[in-house]
Amino acid sequence: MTDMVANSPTTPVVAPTPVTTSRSKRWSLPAYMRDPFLWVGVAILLSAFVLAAFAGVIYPGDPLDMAGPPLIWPGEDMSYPLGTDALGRDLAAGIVHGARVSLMVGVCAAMLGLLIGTTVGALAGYFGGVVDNVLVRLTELFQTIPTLLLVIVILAIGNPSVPLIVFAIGIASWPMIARLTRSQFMSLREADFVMAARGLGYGTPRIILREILPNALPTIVVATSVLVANGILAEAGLSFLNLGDPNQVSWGSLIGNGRTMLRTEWYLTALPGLAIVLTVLSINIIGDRLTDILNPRSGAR
Amino acid sequence: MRNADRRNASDRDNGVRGHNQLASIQSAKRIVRRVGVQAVPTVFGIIALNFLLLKLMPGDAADAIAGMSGSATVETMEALRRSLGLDQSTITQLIAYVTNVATFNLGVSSNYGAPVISVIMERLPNTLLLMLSAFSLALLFGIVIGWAMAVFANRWPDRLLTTGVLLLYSAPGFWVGLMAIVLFSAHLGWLPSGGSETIGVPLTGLAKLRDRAVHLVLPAAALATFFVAIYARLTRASMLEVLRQDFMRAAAAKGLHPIVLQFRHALRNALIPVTTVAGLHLANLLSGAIVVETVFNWPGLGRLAMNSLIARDFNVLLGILFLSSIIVIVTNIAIDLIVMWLDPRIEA
Repeated sequence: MTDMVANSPTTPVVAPTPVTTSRSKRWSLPAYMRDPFLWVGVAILLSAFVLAAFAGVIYPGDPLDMAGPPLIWPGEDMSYPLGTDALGRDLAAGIVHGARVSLMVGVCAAMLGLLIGTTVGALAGYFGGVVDNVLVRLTELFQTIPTLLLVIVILAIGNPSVPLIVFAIGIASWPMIARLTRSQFMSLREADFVMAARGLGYGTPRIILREILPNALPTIVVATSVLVANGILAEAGLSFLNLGDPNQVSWGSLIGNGRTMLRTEWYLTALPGLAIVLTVLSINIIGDRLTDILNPRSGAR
Repeated sequence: MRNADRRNASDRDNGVRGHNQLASIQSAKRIVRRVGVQAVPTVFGIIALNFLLLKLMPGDAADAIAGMSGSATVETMEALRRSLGLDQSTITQLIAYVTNVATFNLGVSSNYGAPVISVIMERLPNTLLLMLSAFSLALLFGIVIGWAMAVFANRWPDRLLTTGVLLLYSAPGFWVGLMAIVLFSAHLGWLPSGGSETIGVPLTGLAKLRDRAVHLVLPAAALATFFVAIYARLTRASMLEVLRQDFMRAAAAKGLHPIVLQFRHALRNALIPVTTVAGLHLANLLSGAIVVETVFNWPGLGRLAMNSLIARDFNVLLGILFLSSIIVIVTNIAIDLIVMWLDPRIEA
């Protein structure tokens, strides 16, 4: 007992010397790292990515194939832990394989939105004047159009496939990032280090890409977490409306298929939805905490 | 650019000073600027985008008409194209398109065999009703919850509400709607699961109103969830910002009643950014309405869009895209005017 107390460096009673205190302070995690919510979020998101990555190993074969008797309730038969649908398809296999499409569409669409938004916002914020005016109008245009309608029209032109859905969601999601990047660039372009870079005779592309962008990037990247979350929600909405890739299972299409038996076999709708809520929730928690860390004034306190 | 900034700054000073008759001239100017500089280019942009999408669509109007009549020879197709102006240059076609759209001539629906504008107008009131109800619900609950979170900042009611709001923020509205159907209409039998009114029962007066209201509850609530979360988070952040200000301490030191302090001083100032941002989410609200309408069989624009997509009725699809964008623009201008009226320091 005495040994244990003596060995523990964080017990102030045994270790009152200033050297030890400062060491114990250095070793204690910062406040945000001790937040249990953050770790729950990270754990959920990681497991979603792991499930998506190893979907083919955990449930080999096509999740659209019949696996067992139809309409088994969750927990009824342990070989189908989440039950089966009207065609005897394993719901657990569907959810695990659906994670692939949902996460991939969310992440890829957010990357596309990030790329377009940063480019438009950087040019508008850095150059100002006519360029800014035109690009701001363009941003407002895309904010005015109801995104889902635009996506539906785009999907009407081409056949629904995962790349087209990524393109449609990405092209509709960038205005938020563009506004953020623009305001960052507008405040940074007058900063001393940018003046210094101009004084040194650096070219405009170098100032934008090497000087301002690295300083603006953390805020923008954190904001992208919202884009990923919204991308997953948008994909769910689209595939619920039967506008997704018909050959791919996604969480939204599982909800759409389960809807026909909503009154009786409601677990077919509830469980895929729960997967969406948990994943999006974990992304939002992580995004919120990162925002607090970057900008302590914005958060609680 | 910097000159323009200075000009804006001096305008803003005038806005503060301008009170009586000056204020009305100022605000009239602002409205003109708001419409002329921001709204008109956006409308033209939307028309141009619509035209681009129309050009990208597989097949053209002649194909659609030929498809309806069943058969067509190469010669009749050519004659048809000529009569529709499809043999003209793209620029000429664009000008013709802009002229048509500007007079709300959005073409004919191949699916319904009626002018697009009348097909849309038939459904529009239902969507507007759904949107407006959800919007009011979201603002009301969002502000109340956000205010409560700020008042109890970092204590357990705040943590509880923050978690709840984050859940709403992460749940797809259509799924919340489906779960609400399971609970409130399948299991409890309290509310109808779809449609906008009871079919086959002729109701009048108060009974009709009640019937429609009962049908509206679940769709409006499902559509509102996501936006309740947005407005609650905004109100919380904005309240915390206001509570930190010096004038709040001064008002408290003056001995004002806490209720007066909370409502007249804190909440009122905190609501200004909330109102401004509320307008930004109108387009998203319309997007959400499309999915929610499908869940609840609500006869509005969203269902019309889905039906038109299946029937490949591109004129109706583009008409909905155009008209809903116009609705967003008009409502945004209205919100701007309300904000200006609430707080004379703000200009468009």
